[in-house]
Amino acid sequence: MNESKKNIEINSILKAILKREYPSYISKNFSSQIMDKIYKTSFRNNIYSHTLRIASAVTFAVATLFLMESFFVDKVKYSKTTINHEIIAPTKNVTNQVDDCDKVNDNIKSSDKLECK
Amino acid sequence: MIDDDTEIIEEIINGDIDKYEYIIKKYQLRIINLCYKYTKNHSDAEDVAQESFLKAYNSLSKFRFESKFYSWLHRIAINCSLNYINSKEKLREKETISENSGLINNEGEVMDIMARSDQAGTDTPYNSYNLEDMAKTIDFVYNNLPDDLKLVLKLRDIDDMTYDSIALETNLPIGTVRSKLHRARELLSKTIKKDIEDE
Repeated sequence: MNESKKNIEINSILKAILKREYPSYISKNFSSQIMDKIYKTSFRNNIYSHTLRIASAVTFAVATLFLMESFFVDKVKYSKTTINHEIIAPTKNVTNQVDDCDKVNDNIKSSDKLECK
Repeated sequence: MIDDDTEIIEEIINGDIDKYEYIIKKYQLRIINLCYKYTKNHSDAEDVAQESFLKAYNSLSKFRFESKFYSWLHRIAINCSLNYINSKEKLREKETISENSGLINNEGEVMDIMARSDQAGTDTPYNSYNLEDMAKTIDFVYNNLPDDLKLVLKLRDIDDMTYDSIALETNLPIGTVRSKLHRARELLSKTIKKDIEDE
């Protein structure tokens, strides 16, 4: 036994006897029994907390990977890797059409002059 | 409040579990004796004391240092003892109900509990310290100490007086009080050491 622990035990026995606060018997391994239980509990707690830490780290890593994948990887699937077609800009053909006079005349005000066929 | 245990308790809270053994060794006898007053059985008293120390350890982070650690531990031990009494009373009630209603078909079980309870009262000397014997030797040595050593020891270890108060009471400098106390304790410790080694 550690010397200082032994001294504490002896002093406590001495004090208890002087104060008349002692039981008739005490197990020699009373304190070590309690310490064993404490060590076992703390060992179990350590394993639990380590497992919990590892599990949370793995979960976090998987979630991050999933997020990164969904942000950065393009989901559009192309049929070809290269596009050979020329891109033609869409145009609009407009013809300079002039309406017939008899169609237009109904809507003409007197002041207006309108060119027609 | 100034408490001798504050530093050690802080170390335990910070993760130095081994230090808790100092606390157990320091208070084990007083706590077992307290539990014995309730349980009236040595073996049960040790079990309840053990439970009290474990409960105190598990709740150590809740200890606010507003009172002395021993007062806190004392309160826990009383609560554990009361719980023990309640559980024992419930067990006894169950036994009485079973006996009265004639439903005892597990008589053997009840007898087992009673036998265990009786057995628990008798300690096995080879794995226990006999404190009664130790106390007789200590009393003898204490009574034969020089008066000045006996007085200092009584004031400090029995009356729990501070060094300052002892110095005032005995008209001695604090250094002398300390050295006299050291000598007295050393003489008595030798006796305990010898008893422990013999056992």
